[in-house]
Amino acid sequence: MKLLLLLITFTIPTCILNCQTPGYMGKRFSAGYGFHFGPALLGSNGNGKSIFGRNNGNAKDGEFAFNRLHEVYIEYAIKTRFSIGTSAIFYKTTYDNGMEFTANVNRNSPQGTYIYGQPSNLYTIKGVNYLVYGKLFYGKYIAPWGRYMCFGINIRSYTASYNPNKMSFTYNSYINNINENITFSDFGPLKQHYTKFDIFAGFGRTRILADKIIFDYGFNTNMYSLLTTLFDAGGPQNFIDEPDNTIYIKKTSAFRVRNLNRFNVFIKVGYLF
Amino acid sequence: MLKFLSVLFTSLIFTSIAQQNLKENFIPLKSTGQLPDIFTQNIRNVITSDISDLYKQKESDKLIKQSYLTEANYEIEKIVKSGNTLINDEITIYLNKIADELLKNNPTLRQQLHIYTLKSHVVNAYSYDKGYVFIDIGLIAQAETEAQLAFIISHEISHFTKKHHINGYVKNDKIDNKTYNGKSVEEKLIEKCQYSKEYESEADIEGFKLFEQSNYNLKQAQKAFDVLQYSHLPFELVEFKKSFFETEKFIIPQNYFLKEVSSIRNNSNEDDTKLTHPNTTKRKQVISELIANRSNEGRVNAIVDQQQFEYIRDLSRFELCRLYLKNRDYPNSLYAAYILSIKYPNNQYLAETISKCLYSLSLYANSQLHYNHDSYLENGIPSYSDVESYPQQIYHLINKMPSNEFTIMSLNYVYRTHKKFPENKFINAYSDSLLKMIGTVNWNIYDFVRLQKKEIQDSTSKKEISQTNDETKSKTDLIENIQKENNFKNYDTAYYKEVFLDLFLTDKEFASKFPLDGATSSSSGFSNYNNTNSTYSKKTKKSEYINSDTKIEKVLLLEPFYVKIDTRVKDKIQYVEADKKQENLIKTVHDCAARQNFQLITLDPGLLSTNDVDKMNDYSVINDWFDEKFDSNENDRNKILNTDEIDSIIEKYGTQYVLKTGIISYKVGEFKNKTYFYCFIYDLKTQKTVYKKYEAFSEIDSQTLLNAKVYQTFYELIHSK
Repeated sequence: MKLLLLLITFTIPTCILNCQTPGYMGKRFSAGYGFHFGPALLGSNGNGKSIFGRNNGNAKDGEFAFNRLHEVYIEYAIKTRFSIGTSAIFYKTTYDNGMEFTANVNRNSPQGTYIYGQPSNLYTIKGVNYLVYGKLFYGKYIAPWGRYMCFGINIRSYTASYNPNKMSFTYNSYINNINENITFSDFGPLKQHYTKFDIFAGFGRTRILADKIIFDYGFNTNMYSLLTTLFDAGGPQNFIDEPDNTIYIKKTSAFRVRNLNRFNVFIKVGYLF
Repeated sequence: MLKFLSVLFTSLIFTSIAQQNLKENFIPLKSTGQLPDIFTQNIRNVITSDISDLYKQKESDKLIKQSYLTEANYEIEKIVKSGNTLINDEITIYLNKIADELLKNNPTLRQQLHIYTLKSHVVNAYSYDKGYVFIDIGLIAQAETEAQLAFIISHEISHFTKKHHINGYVKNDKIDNKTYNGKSVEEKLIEKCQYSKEYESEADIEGFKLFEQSNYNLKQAQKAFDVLQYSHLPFELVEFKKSFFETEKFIIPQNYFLKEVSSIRNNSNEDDTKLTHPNTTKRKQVISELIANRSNEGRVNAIVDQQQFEYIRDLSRFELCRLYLKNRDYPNSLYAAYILSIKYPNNQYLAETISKCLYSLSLYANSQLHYNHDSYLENGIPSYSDVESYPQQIYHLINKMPSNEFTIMSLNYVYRTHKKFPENKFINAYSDSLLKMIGTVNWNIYDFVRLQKKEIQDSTSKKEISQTNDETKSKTDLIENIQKENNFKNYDTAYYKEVFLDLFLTDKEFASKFPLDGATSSSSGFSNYNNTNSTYSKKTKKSEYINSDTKIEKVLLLEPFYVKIDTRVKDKIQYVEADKKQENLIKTVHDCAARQNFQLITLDPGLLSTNDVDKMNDYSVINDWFDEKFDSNENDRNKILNTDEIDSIIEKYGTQYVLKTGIISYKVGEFKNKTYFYCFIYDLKTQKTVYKKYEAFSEIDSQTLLNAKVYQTFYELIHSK
């Protein structure tokens, strides 16, 4: 975050001072709201719904489900064909526990006692993507109007939280001739915060109405998320052996957040001033 | 009362136009008086009214005719506002007097007619169903009698009364939509030509009926076809005498001229299957049969006035010289000026025209002037073998005379003309430019002062001659030597060696301006007059200042261009839509300029009021300038020669920069659009393009696009260094 603030603090004023662009009709600043969305094919969205769901998942599948992300942004045209921007993309999603974990439930024993299983239910992820990006408009267009490609850095900050009463695993314990079902729900702190880095890219098209209102639409992706597509395709188990219970959320939330940011279509509405 | 005042005003204008004194000079034709309604009326309202009238009548093919009315109205507006149409000038007034004479018994029809002169070298006339008749200058220049002009006007009036234009449009449309089993193109053409010939024959007969109601000589109707038949030849055939370019010490060898010029081909009975008009023999035959039954007694060649006809025709011929120059057709301009100079030997305009032609032809001979596919003469100056009769001599001279000699000949003529008209800055500039050119084509003062081995009787003289050849560096020394050696016979056999001898001896100006050694550093001449020596960057971006020295703060905006084409529909050109968009573009240009405090002066025939005839003339001058510019290569030097009036335009509007912008919008599919935006700024003084932007977009011509590009243009103009 500090890095982001430093970038914003130094980059924008420098650009304003050295500006040699007309902007669109002399207007360079724009700010607005964006809505990003992509299909929740296998994973579950913020409402716990999914289109196909997982075979062994807990999400409500067969639904018309989309991942939804909400963005606020500001942009500034620093050259005829180039503008810079910064934005925050907010999202809420869930992870449909579809992966097995391991846990040592008897640490008193030198060998330990390990259980293997899949937690029930889903857990929630809430996050913000902080972006600093540049938009390069195609030759004949003038920022912020026209077709463009954008690229930048994406700092993902997200918090996964689970309810131990809902997210648990019940196993059968037979110790000292006592056979009992034990509910296991220790997946680390109830709220776990993570920060990740990715390279952001996208293509879009901006239209301007009445010299004031900006409509921006297109799609975007994140490079690391994109490169790991093949690994992620078969589910979380593809990229790692069953994690132990302490890192279960760390691994699966990263997987889910990658999925969420892999490819999204967006529509933005802004004001040009 | 208003009507009376209007008539009085018009009469005053007519009488106030004094005849030009062609013996001394010629002033290019200008419009005068009030601009007609077509300049002030809203064309979309006119079209709506015309279409409304159409649907009130019992007409067939209403949809096709509706398209016609739209197209024809825009076409007429385009012609009238092109800057090439003369309004209330001497020639147009005269043509209208002929029409008055023809229609003195039919005032209703007379009121429906609008007869205009078109500044075009083409030998043609045409009419529209709205009553607009346009007669080209080229045709008037060729006419032998007033009666011939009267017959041609009668013919055009008949096209109007018989509604040939609209009916032809309907027929064309129907032919285009027929199926011809693979032979479509040729069969369609033949069928179109067939009905066109029928219309022409009908107009000939009906025109003759109208013509015979007046007291014009009927035989002139027949003779008018001869004029059309030989319209590819100059307005008069006069032997071109080589003595025209000769002086006492400059006799051009006979081998640069043909012993005999080619004969004139007679194709009056040519196959007219694929022609829109019947051949001349057929047309003359029809008129001949009509004349046979009528008495020609007491009929005259001129009713309005014979002297006035000759004056008007001469005016047209002078204007024709100018129009040829505009097209960079220098041989034709030279020959036309040559013919006129026989009648008007002291006319300054003719001297200037011939000087322009010789200067340009010298540039052409020295590969400094080129023609390309955009040029009127796209293949350059034709070979003499392609030309008939006396003009062939000029083409032969151009083809055969080496470039150095042509330059010498031109300088000899132009410099002496400059001495005759010392106040004429253009002749002076051409003369200086030719002097510079002598230097650049490896001819310098040494070539003309070097006296080769001769019988020298005096040892002192021998010594001085030796110095002349080997040691002398100073130009004045060289000239002094010439003066001393004046009595010695020059053994150099080249016919042009002594061409400037008298000038070296007697004309200090010539001696001082003549290049000493190769290229001169003199700052005079046409190139300097037009200031083409500024530096140009080699950038090839689509949008840029080309001339890095230029700072533009004020421009003259010409009528923006707008065309919309929808390839999916039958009426591909969307006239009305484009007209609306054009209005919007004008508004956008003004808005964007105003937002950035950029000074913009509009010169748009679409925005003129009835009293803006001066602006219309200015627009015409600038349009002529552009016609000549677009005819030539961007990299040619000194190419725009019709610049006589440009200086006053620059002074009047306070800027030498002219902005041309426009949009071309194509719709090629439901979601497939192409929009081209261009914006060019030209410097009228340096004759260069100082700013250009040409961009293509795969999208519709949205308001955003216009705003963005126009605003950017002004921004770049203001903020470039």
